[in-house]
Amino acid sequence: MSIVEIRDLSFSYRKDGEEKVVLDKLNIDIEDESFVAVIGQNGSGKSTFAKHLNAILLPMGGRVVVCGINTKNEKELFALRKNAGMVFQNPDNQIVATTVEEDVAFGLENLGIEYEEMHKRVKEALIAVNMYDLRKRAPHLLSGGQKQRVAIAGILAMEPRCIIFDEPTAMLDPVGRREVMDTIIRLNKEKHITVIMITHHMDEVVCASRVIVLNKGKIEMDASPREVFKNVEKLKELGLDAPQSVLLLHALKDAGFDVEANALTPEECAEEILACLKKREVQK
Amino acid sequence: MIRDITIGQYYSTDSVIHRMDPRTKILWAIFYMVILFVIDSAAMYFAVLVFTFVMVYSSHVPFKFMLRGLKPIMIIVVITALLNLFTTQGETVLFTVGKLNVTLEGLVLSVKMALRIVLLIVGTSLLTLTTSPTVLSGGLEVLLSPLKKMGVPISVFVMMISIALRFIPTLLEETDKIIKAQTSRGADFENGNILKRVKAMVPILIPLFVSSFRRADELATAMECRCYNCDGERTSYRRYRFTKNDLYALIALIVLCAVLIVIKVVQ
Repeated sequence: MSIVEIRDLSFSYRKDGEEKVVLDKLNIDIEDESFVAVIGQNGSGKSTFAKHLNAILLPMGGRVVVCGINTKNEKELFALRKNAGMVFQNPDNQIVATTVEEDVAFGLENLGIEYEEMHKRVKEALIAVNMYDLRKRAPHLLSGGQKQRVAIAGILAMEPRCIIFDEPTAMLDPVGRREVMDTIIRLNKEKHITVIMITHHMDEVVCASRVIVLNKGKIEMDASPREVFKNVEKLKELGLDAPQSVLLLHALKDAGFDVEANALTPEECAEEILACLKKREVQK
Repeated sequence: MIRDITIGQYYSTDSVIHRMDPRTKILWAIFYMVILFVIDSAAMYFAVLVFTFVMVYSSHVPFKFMLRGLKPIMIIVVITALLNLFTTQGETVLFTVGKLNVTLEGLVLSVKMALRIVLLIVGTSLLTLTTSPTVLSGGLEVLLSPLKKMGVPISVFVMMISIALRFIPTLLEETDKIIKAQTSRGADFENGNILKRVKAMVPILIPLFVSSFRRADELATAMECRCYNCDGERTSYRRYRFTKNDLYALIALIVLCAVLIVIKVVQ
């Protein structure tokens, strides 16, 4: 069943008297419980696309239906946003309250959840992101990764079916990135929450089950990470990168080594290189 | 330098006063202020002074911390004291500076005024030092909720206050960063006359304003995404309950009032 159904989605804005098309008749269906990464150069429309998923922006043409709710339906706006949560890039600018637990409760307060139920859900959400021990902390005393996990818990407490991440690790250090990515993967695997993640980091794309490459408001590629990263040349044309392991194998292949350039993770890459070295030993 | 300001800061520890209901504390602070402006005799001042000391002591907030918070206020205290000292008319002239007479009445009044301001700051900062901002604004919301029926958007005000409080440390951090960035480009904040120094603040304030607006915009979007609706009915994560501690606090307040009335009557 698709949780997101996008038909002929178009969006444009006027700048200096010129009409600038950001999204050009997009058609996307996203399966329930899947993990979709959306990549693209700056200005490819990926953030605009994300903002359409929970009605921050409304389509100028076409329609967006998320969790069975058309985003243009104002009466169902809260139901839509409760079901499709959104986590932004800057963790500082999405934390509202002065302690961790109260921030997680913010969405629930808005939804009018009862006291007992609210406390139960806040606790569960904080445990799910490994932040329960720090629940009394003030947000400015947390690291970037911790803040971002609090933001995720705040969405999680609302029990959404799908979470949209708009470059959630762009402002984090490597440790923070790891923490946040592990959390996102766990939510997808264990809580069966659909994840739609906009990202710049190709190493994170590897975690997804499907990659959508946007370019100038159109879908350029839509396949599994393995398929997409086979085509390094095309990615480069679009101004995009590939994970380092993929790039390394491609470089080795170009240099005449006998390797298959379809490994994604560093582990797979290492295995491929080892296998190649063994073959050479045997030949000698 | 900026971090020295303790007004509005919360001192996280555990004490009888910390555990008190925010509503009690707010009412208490209001009563306290009224008392400060009612008292006039030395004995009364002494009673309030002792009472304030007891409260500060039982709040487990270190005296040093309290005193540091008084530092920025000291200028106001000194100016007020000096004004009162030199401008009060009286009969017993102690000494004369130029054309200004310093009278005994003026001296007494200036000491009273200085003490009044210091007590006012200590007493009210005790409220913010022992109550976390969210609890404080929550308490305010409950106390002011009758106004909601008159159409005053109390919840919105309270939300605004708590967001402002939430962003104070974030903006302080950012200010520090901007100051360092501008200093590294050769900006000079320490030398020159007042006019020059004020001018030197401009390159700090402009980036700070720009980034605050950007933050506000992003925060508003994030809040909307979490179903915030300023007209809607919200529930609260916190519950405020009147406990024994609150009873004690009210008893303390009544005792203080009684003592003051007795002093007044005796005189």
